This record gives sequence, structure tokens and C-alpha cells, in this order.
Amino acid sequence: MGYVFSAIAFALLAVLPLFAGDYGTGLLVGLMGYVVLASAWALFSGPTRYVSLATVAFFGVGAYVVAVLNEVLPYPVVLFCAALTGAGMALVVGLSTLRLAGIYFVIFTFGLAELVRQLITWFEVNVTGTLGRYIFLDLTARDIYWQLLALAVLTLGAGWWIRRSRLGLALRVIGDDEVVAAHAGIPVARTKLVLFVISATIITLVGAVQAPRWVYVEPSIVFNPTVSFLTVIMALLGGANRLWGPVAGAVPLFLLFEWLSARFPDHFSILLGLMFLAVVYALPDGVLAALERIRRPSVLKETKA
Amino acid sequence: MILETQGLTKRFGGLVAVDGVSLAVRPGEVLGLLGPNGSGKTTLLNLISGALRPSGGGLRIGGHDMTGARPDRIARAGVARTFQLVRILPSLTLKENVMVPAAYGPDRLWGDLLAARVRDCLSAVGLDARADQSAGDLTYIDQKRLELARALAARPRLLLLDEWLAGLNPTELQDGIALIRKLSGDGLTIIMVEHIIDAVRALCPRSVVMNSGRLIADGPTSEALADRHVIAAYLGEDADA
Ligand SMILES: Nc1ncnc2c1ncn2[C@@H]1O[C@H](COP(=O)(O)OP(=O)(O)OP(=O)(O)O)[C@@H](O)[C@H]1O
Ligand SMILES: [Mg+2]
Repeated sequence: MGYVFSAIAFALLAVLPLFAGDYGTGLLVGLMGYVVLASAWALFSGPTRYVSLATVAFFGVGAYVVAVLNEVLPYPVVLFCAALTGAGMALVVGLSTLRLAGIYFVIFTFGLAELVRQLITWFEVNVTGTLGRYIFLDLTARDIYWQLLALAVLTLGAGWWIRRSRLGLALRVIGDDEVVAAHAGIPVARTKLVLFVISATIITLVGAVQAPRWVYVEPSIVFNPTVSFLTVIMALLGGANRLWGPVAGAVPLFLLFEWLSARFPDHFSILLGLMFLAVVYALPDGVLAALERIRRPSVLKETKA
Repeated sequence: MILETQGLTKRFGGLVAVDGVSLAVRPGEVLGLLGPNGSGKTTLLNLISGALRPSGGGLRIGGHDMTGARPDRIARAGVARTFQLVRILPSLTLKENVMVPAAYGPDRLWGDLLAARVRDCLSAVGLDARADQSAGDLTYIDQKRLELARALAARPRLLLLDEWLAGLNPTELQDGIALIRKLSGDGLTIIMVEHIIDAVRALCPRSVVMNSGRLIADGPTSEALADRHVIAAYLGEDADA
């Protein structure tokens, strides 16, 4: 029953751009991009509760790999290279940061995006001597949308599978108490690293797939920190610990942010920052969980003796 | 020997919390680990379970060198523990709490075998009826029970209990003692840190006593407790307090 429903929903989503105009399809591309970003972010950050602001670091690197390689290699190979680069970068970043706790991890991941952007800028200016690059790929907005839809299916499928596996249990234990996790036999560092790499690779692919939409690419365009903040807000507001939570957060918020950025272009960053703080502090489990709590407030935790 | 430590040492800055402890434990023993507050008992358990890396000395478990090994590796080698300040997994159900070491410990169970192991361990501590409740909703005493069930779910060879009997009322204490005796009867090796001397006398044929990080006595419990260094150590603590 669930499978049939999912298949019908998938088919409907696949034909949607055939009926949406240019503007509508453009909107769908952006929307599907954030559906994947929020879901992929939640794969790692949901159960482990590590709030990563590195989303745009991987997203931007994905876009840049396409910008650099699009004229030399066939498109599928370019995507593969992007995925490989994202995975390699996640491995290095993960090895050096997953021991950091709480706020230090947040700050490091935020700094990472800026670092990568500065490195690429420096490299382009001093070594290749070009700051901007062009992407000439024969891909329509529809093609991009379909690739993102496929990525969404892949990401949700991975989330579904992890939830049912030993790995999913391990991640939830790590989210609660790493000391207990280790004493139960869970290789904590390796488990976190695996999930971080999977999540970051998908995020990198979103950047790679969306890159042709820009045509002209430079670091300040693809490493826009807004992407990282939006992703966190969407995933947390929808509920990063539920399979469909990030999707439920991404759809309405994407539309809201589109409207806000058009209506209040000067104040958008402030609005975004305020929402980020509100979500992280007030609703870390998401709106759905908060609603459930309101409906059954009687289950109060007994405090320790 | 199931456990051997050779001059095991742990320094925290200038403080030597565990100071050259050499200890050997045979399979099936129930060993009492005693000593005044701050004498290094918990730190010694932390060194054995891998929670802390030793600053010096060696650790062998089941004849294998485990000096400096990570806690997950030591857990998979058959060592399980409870914590002095109880640590349950609050966002998981009781059942899920107990699943973890069964799924990731020495046996790596999954599916039906895992479910059966979880049921056994929860009923051993009398929590089987509440398997699907959230662990965060338990009272302190029930959290201690759950923690023991979780440790047992690994089917460990060596169980480390850090004041697991502390805070129980007299009836619960009797139940707790009976439970530990049963585990020992099943062949489990146990090291228990305990301040309740009656429980130690009832359960541990042999005890070791620590003071300021050093082992000051090792022998039959009644002799260890009557040792004049031990009496002096406890009196010294009283004089300080
Ligand atoms: N992580 C740590 N960092 C610094 N000092 C520590 C640490 N853990 C323990 N200590 C110190 O090491 C000494 C031994 O502590 P430990 O907890 O092992 O004592 P204990 O015998 O378990 O005491 P109690 O009976 O009160 O539980 C104490 O002085 C304590 O303050
Ligand atoms: Mg202690």
C-alpha cells in the first residue's frame, strides 16, 4: 500500500514540470533542491544532533567541479567526479571535526564554507587567473528537476533503509550519549564519519546538478551561506528525526523564503537569522513533535533522584 | 586470568588518580573494589572499560593485550559496565536501550535472536512489562535496573558495577543482592565498587582496597576489611570530613 502510494506520488511529481511554465519549473527546481538538501542534512544531523553549517561548502564544491570539468569530460563522469570530491572532502573534514562537541562543531562547519570559498578564490585568481567560469551544458530546467527528483528518492530511500538497520540504531544512541554508545561496542567515530560522508556526498551532488542553472559561476555565487542556514531551518522545523520531516519543512519554507526575499530583499538576512535562532532554541525537534507534545502534555519526565 | 592489570596508572595533571595498580581476576570471581571517596575506584573501572586511556602500565583482558584500546573494542571483547551516575539513553525505549549492546557487542545479534535476548534481559531485572516505554520516563531506581539489563544484554564475560546497589531501599537491596548472586552463579565474573559493606560481605569472597590511587589490600574480604592500613585509610577519611 505504501509502495503504491509512493509510486503514484513519484509519477505525479515527475510529470509536474510538463504542466508548469518556465517560472513554475524554475520554482520546482529550487524546491526540489532544498527537499534533497534538508533530507540529506538530516541523515547525519538528525540522529546525531550535530548542527552542521557546512552544507554550502559541499554544495558549492559540487557546483565548482561542474564548472571546471563541464567542457572536458562527459556529464555523467563530471557528476561522478563531483561526488568523489565531496566524499573525499567530507572524509577529511569528518576526521578532523567529528570529535568536536556542540557549538564548536557548528562554528567550525560555518568557518569551513568560508575557508573553501577563500581557497578557491585564491586559486582561481593566482593560479588559473580566472575568477568566473561558464557552464555550457545542454540541460533544461526540466532535466535538472528530474535529476533532483531522483536524488530525492535516493536520499529518502537511504533514510528509510538506515532507520531499519543496525546503523540507524547506532546513530540514535550516539545522539543520546556517545560514552554509552562506545561502551556498547559501537565504533562511534567510524559510524559518525560514514554518515557524514553519505550526507555530504548527496549535498555535493545537489550543487553539481543545479550548477548548469547559473551558466556563470564564481565563488561568491555558489558559496552563499544562506543555503546552509535555510537547510538547517527547514530540516529542524519539519523534524530532522523523521523520514518525511525535512520534506515537510522544506516545501512551505522554500515558498515562504522565495516570497520574503522578493518582498523584503534588504531585511532578508535578518529575518533568516532570527528564524534560525528561534528554530534552534525553541523547536529543536520540529513542529510536528511540538504539536504532539501539546496534544499529550501529561507525560512528564521524572527527574533524577 | 580474565583480567590482568600491570602497574596501571592514570594521571590528571598533577593528580595521580590510579597509581600503579596490579590486579589479577580469575574467571567466575566476584571481586569487591573498596576504598574511601576519591580513592580512584571509578577511575580504575574507567581504565578497564576503556573510557580512559592509561597514562602508564598494561591491561590484559582474556589474555589479550588491551592497553590503550578504545571502549568499543573492549566491549566487544566481553566487558560490560554500569556507571556510578546512571547513564540511560533517554530518547530510546527500554527495549531499544537493551538492544544496543546485543546488536553491537560480542554477539552482534539481529532479528529474532536479538528480540529474545532483549526480553530475557529485561525480565531478569523485572522491567519486561514496560519494554516499549521511553527510558527517560523511568524513576532513578528503574533507570539503574535498566542500566544493568543493558550491560547484561552483551552477555559479557566481565561485568563492572560502579555502586550499582547505592540508593536502593532495604527490600530493593535484598533483590539486588539476590540478582548479583544469580549472575555470579551463572558464571559471570564481576568487579563491584561498593560502599555497602554488608553487601560486599554477602557477595564478594575477595576484595581489594584502594587509597589515594594505590592498592593497599588484596585478599579474602573479612581479612581485607580488618587490615590496619585499610582501617587507617577509612579513619583518615573520617578525620578529614
Ligand atoms: N576526569 C577527571 N579529571 C580530573 N580529575 C579526576 C577525573 N576523574 C576523577 N578525578 C579525580 O581522581 C580522583 C579519584 O576519583 P574517582 O572518581 O576515581 O574516585 P572514587 O574512588 O570512585 O570515589 P567515590 O567513592 O566518591 O566514587 C579524585 O580526586 C577525582 O577528583
Ligand atoms: Mg566512584
